[in-house]
Amino acid sequence: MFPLTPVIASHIEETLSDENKIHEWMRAFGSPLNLIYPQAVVDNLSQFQKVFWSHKIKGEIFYAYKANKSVAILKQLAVSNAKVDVASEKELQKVLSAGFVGQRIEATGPKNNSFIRLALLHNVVLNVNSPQELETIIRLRQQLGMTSSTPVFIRLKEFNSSKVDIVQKDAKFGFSIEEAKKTIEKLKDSKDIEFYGFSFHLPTISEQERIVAIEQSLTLTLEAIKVGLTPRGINIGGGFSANFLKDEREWHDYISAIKDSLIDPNRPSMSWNQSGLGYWAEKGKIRGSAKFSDFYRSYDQFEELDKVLEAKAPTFGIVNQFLQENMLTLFIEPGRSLLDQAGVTLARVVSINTSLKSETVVFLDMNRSHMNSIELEFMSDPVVIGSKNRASKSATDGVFLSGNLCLPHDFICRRKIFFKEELEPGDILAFINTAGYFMDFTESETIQHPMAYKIAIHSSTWSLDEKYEPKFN
Amino acid sequence: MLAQSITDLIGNTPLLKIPSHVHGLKNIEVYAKLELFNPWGSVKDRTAWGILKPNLDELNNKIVIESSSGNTAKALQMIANLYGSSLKTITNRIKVPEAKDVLRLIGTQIQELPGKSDCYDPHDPNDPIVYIEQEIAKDPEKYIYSDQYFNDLNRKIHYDTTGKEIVDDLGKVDYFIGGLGTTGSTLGAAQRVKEYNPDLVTVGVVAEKEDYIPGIRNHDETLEVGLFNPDFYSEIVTVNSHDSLEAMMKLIKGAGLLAGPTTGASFLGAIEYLKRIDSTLTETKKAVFIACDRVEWYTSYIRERKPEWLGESPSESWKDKVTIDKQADISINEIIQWIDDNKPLIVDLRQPISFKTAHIPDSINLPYDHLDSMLNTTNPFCTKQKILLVCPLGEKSALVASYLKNRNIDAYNLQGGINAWRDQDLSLERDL
Repeated sequence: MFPLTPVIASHIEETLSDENKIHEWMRAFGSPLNLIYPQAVVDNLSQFQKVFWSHKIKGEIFYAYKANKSVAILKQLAVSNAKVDVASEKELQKVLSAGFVGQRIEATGPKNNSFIRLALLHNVVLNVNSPQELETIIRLRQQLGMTSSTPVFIRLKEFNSSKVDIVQKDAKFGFSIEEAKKTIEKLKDSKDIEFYGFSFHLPTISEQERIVAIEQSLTLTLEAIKVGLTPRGINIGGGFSANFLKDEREWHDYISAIKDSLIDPNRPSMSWNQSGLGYWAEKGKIRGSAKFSDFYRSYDQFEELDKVLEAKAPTFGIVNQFLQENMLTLFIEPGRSLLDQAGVTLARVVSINTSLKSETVVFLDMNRSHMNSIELEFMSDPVVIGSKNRASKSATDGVFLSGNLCLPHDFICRRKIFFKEELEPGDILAFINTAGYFMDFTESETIQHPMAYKIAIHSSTWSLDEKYEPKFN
Repeated sequence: MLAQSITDLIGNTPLLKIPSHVHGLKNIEVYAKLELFNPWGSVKDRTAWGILKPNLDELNNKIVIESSSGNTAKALQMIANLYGSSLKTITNRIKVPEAKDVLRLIGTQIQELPGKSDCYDPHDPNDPIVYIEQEIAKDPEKYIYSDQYFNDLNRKIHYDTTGKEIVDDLGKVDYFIGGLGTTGSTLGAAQRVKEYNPDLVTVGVVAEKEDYIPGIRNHDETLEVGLFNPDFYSEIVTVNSHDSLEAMMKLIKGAGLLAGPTTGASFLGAIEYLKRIDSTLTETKKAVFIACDRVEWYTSYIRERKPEWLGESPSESWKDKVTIDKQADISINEIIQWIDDNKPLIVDLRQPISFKTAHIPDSINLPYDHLDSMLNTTNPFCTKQKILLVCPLGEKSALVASYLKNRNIDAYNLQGGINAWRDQDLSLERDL
């Protein structure tokens, strides 16, 4: 038995304790159903801000809206002092209608012309991905006859350090160092573009790489100041951790069990069809790397930001002091970490079958599109909310959770999950902490299954997500 | 003893009998194989020599490539230096800063692997071995891949030398204990010892998963090691870094052995295993563990875990006795008038690079770190001149100004620092 017990915040515990309410909701809205906790997002926001204050630096937080489509969260953040990061024209329309004004919005990612045009007309900060995109922005400005200047971040893709040599993966977004230097020269006399600063978004959680990227951004920022530009700060993107699990030992034991089961074919399989979750055995040795992120983290997102600010950059010294000394703001774009404990996905057990190789497969009334973050496995166990008056029977082995598509590879969890008791049709499973990227990032109406409803939960009551009224403290 | 080449000094290390009060066992004699006597200080000197010796000709025009975080890299580099070559190590495991410094010093090129991805790309191999193979594939003629985790020469050198020496010195050995990294030294040496005594019990030592012990892997990591043969070990003992350091100190203080944390881990693993069988024995048995290297380059590793052992009590500082003197504060609203009236010497306490980028006109730069150490003994100011101190937020400058005022220096503090100055849009200058 290898459980992965989730961390459950008290506001979620409270909802789950009312089993009648859960079953009532499932009857009313169908499966799956998503629960959203807007206040949890505000709490996370203020914890990030506390870190900035404790380091006495100016910090700005752009909520990465792509991580969850909830309107309730947007409406609640619109009345806070958060800013928002949008990655498509539709996202921009939604945040505008939720109450964010242009100065509180940043546009990132690949952009088509109508996205850029709408952003320009609202004076949104554009996070520019390439020299060519900058040309397009300038051209569209002229077409629109704009007179006010357009604020931009210039995204970097290349980070060098004389002190550390890191194997670089290829990167498709952003400017090279050379391109960034040319752009500074070009922008120094520009009336069209207001240079906000350099930005980056690392595909890694390595502390060392982040420091190298910060160092590179600061080096270029100083060069920009030298040519007469007045950057406001640096934008270090998101990628802050969130911890999903209660017990570090459970996490390590689970991963060892996956690897051991691959090496020894006599052991029970830990992944569907011995697919290995990214690992495989080659001549008795484990190769490959995990198709899941670290669901257990020994530190939380706020401690991680704290560490970044306390870190020593090889040339510039302690990051917070350098930002203070140069009067620079630190911008961050958290998604997952800001949505920590802000969402739950509920799904109903439809049927249970025994596979050809005698594994138990539990079919849920939801599919992979309802809980999928780019093929990453969800590594925390759902909580069981039993159907009424059901008998309980101790489970003898783990189960696999299948989706409701007619596809052999449609699994909600292709890892084995160990429940204490056997599941029955009608049981509800509650996946904890799905708001960041898992809940609806890839949601679709595949084979005409409906999209899931979202309901927003607040103190003593609830509403449909889009009918949520923001709360004021 | 006259050596023709430093490599002649690799191996032939002594065995040291550990006093029984140090290990506490009644019926077992415990011996340390002193691999720290090797010329570059570790058991890995043998591994590196065992792997490179058959390829010395190639060192003329090739460089060695390896994934090593410490001792193997050091030994490979030292040998490569002798033959006009050098080492490139691709790793993400160098967690001991001293090890990194020494490697850089002797000429190793260190390349770090990228961290684990949180923005997941299912098409990215994300496998360290793949990175090394890609690097070699770029220019196959350029590299000798020593491949310590898979190369059987690593095991063989310990079979040929380490194990043989133990048998020559001790004859029959009953228990052999070694930390598992590449697993080459334990496997090779124990195979040789087992030939002499087929009843030999071999114990491997690994680290706890959430922990880090230099040169030793955890359970999952051993599964990736090509040389690792789990069936060879009677038992694999898991130890943590905290207890390993305690065991290391026992060796240092009780046995006169200046052992490092990894040796402490092997010693601890040995005791943990042996104490369970000690009382069941009726005759005296012999156990050997590998003392793989020395303590010196792990001081920062030890400081992280046992700061009290390094017992640095902070010395007295000028800051200890300062009470903030509000009289020293000049508010941002009156600052321009105040400067005009008083013509102070404006002293900016920020780093030079920040000062050059933007500063108050006619100020001078005296970085806080320098002033801080100076103030413990003296100060650079005269009593006749008014001084205005400027820092990022007006905090350090308040401290310095209050201290100086007490010393009869006419010192003042710009409230809110350079940030307040900038927020008022007051003029800044830059030096290019």
